Amino acid sequence: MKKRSLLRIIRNSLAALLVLAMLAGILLLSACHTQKKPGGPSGATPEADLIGDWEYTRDASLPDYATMVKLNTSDINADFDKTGRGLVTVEQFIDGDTVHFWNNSHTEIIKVRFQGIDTPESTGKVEPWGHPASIYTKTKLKDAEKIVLESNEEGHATMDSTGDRYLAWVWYLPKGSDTWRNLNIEILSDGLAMGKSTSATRYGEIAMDALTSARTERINLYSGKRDPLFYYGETVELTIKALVMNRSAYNSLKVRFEGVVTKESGGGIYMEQFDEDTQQYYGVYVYGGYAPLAPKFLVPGYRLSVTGTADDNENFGFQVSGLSFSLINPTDDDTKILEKDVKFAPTLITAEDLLTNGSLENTFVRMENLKVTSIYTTKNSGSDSDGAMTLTCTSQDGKTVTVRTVKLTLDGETVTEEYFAGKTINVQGIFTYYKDAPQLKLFTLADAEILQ
Amino acid sequence: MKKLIALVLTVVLAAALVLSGCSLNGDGSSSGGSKVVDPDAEIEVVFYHTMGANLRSVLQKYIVEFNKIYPKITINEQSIGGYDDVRDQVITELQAGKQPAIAYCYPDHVATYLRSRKVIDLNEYINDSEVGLTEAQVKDFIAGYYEEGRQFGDTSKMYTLPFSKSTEVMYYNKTFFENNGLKVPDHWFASGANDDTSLEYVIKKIKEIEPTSIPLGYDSEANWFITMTEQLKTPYTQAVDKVEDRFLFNNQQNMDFCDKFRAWCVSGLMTTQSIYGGYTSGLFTNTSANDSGIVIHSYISIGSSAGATYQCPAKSDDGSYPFEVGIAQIPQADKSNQKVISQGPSVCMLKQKDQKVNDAAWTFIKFLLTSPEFQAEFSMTSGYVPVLRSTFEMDAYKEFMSGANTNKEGIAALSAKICMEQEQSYFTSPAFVGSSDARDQVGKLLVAYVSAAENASEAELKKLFTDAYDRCVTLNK
Repeated sequence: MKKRSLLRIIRNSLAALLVLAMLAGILLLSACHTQKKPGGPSGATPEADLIGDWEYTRDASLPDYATMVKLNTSDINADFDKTGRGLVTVEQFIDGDTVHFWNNSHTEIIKVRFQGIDTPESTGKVEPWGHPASIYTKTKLKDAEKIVLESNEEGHATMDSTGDRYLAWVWYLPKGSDTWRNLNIEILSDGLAMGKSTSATRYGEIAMDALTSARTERINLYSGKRDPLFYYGETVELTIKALVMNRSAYNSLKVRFEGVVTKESGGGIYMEQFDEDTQQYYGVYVYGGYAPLAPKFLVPGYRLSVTGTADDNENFGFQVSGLSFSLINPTDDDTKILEKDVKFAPTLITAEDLLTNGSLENTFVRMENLKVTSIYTTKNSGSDSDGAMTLTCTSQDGKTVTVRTVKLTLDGETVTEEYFAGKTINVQGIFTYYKDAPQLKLFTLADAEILQ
Repeated sequence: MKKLIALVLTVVLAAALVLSGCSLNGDGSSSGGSKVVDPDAEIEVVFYHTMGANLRSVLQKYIVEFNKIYPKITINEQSIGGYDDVRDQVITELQAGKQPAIAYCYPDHVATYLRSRKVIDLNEYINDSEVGLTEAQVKDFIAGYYEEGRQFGDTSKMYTLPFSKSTEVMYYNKTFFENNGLKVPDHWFASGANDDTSLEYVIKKIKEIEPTSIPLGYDSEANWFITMTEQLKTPYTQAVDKVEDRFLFNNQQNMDFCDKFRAWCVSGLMTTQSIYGGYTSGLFTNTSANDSGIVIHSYISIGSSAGATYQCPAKSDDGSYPFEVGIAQIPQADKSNQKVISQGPSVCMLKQKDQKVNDAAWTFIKFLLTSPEFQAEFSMTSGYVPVLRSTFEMDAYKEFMSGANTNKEGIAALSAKICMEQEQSYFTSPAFVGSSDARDQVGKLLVAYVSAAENASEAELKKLFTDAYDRCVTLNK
């Protein structure tokens, strides 16, 4: 384990003290909101570094299970999605057992869930050993000479149970080596995954041996030790402002704050809280997940107390996730409804505010008298964004701003460009970033008013 | 003389064991004597399960409560992957004598574990005067679920306790059904051209209305086959000694219903998880067009009642739902013999060398499974149905259930409600060594049968049945 990991633990344990220092710092910072923001929920930053630092060196005396199986290299110059075996290159790292690749002909993005393994979560909900598993996979593949995907069944690729991702064995050739390594089995042998229908796979026997070895040797996840990158400390109670203005300081920490829900989107909510000192709202995106109780709590107009893990994720931007809900004896860590039917209204902002005041990110805002000058409609059949529009607008003071819509409907029909073309509009929605560029995100037609 | 001495020693030893209230098990561990946990002993209980992050949070919350009473017992709960992974891990560890004290299980798994003679007969604890279950606690379990623990040949033995339950239900696109005047089907096959409450009639009608649709998706092919044999009372398996006689599914009655499903598949009326390539809820909730600009989806989806939240379409960004979801019992073949499959994990206890660990494991199981609060929270977090009657009397659970509706906010409660209404129709198949192979094989058989080439001969189709039977026998010889 690297020294920096130890330092991280020390840092985590001092979090409470840091909070006090930060709060003082915030008062100074709050006067200056102009800053370049990392992507919000819709703004991925693929090159961002993963959280923390972690390294594992295998005990050389243990068997090298990853090379006990052999790759058939005779037909790897094909496309995996067509033949079930083929060279690929990394498009995007997601977590320890999911990576997106380009196929060999670079015509399709192959979303891959690794066959036979299940690493702890590091997106949506962060679990112990989730971040180390994610770093491990990225480290192995980013420096690989070549990568090959192989289906569990000969001759064709197979999907996972969601029907959205392929299942595959991931092989890589380390730089300077001529021996292909099976990454799925290597992850198992290094104790960073549980099995997932492992024994029933084509390499089931060796994979099970690798898993058993990791358990017997008590490696990483099976060591009984704490994950050096996971925050086990006390929950930090803070304001939304303190959280979002100091993202890196709170990244991976367990936080608790209050706020009003303004919008639902993508399985989560936008929450905001008014700050008396700066006389403005600060907002954050909170991911709710698939818990059956989540829809009972995450409702626009509710004032909530939320406890979750702050996560500056390279794929989803900064968000709070890992919420829990209970209708019976809720603990401090469960989400609580403090008040229902809270009246809330958007903050009226200028084009200048949108372009320069990044501290308003994720808050509910309103802009008036925007002249729509051009429109781009997303045409991506099979995607939820098909039919969504980007409205380029000019404000009354001549500034250019962007309004991004979801796929809007009117009387069951998709709203098209004609609805907005050439019009002057008042709009309200969430201040978000897309690829570092600010935009107002419009979620419903009711939030758009056509003036002329 | 030596024989006489040996006999006397044997009698004395036996008497000593009886007097001390102890007995030796096959693995050398002892059972008997007081099973009350020593409050001063540091004990670790390993518990293998398949819970994801949300359910683990619930479990951990109750472990905290347990430790307030038993601070010296450490519950080392481990999520192992899927049910099969738990089974594989336990089998491996049983051979090495390193098995967990508690494991999530399905009956097929336990049938296999029993060969190791390390599965604890829970009656040893349930009937114990000090640590056992009271009559009221036993009666609080829903009887059908509780009795599943006795299904291993010898009904005097109780090898499992129910943890949580689910069944299969039929999800349908309520909006589409209402807009097109369709009735919710309650039986499979049409008795005539106008039998509008048959699934057969409804899926054909849907295809007429929307030719690009695949009206029906059925997730589990194995469940479908087995459920049909239960509903039609056709042979499937039996728990007998002779391997060749255990597998009865290769018969004409079963081929007959497969023929009907095959005709549906060929006509594009239905698909399954294996044929579609993913849970068919993906097809049911799909609102996106393919490359040709067509939105292909199903209007009926048969899957686990515990997966209700996945059968509900996501709320659009403008806050509306694309459609409402209705839930009903799966179609039946015979109204007088209604059958739906019983699913959901049970738990078993596996013998540990240190008797204190066994006792602590039981103490934890009893704490967890007799807690209506735990059952309620587990249900509300997962969509599984509680196994205790008292849970349904809790105000918080009633509030949860009162929110049952056809949107994401109430779909899990609605599913649980439909699931509970079918309690009398639950069935389980006999569990024996090889029963999991039978299940695997009939699932694959159904897929192969319905998706065989259109011009496949009767002999080729029959061979699929014969091959499945042969594989079952070979795997268990």
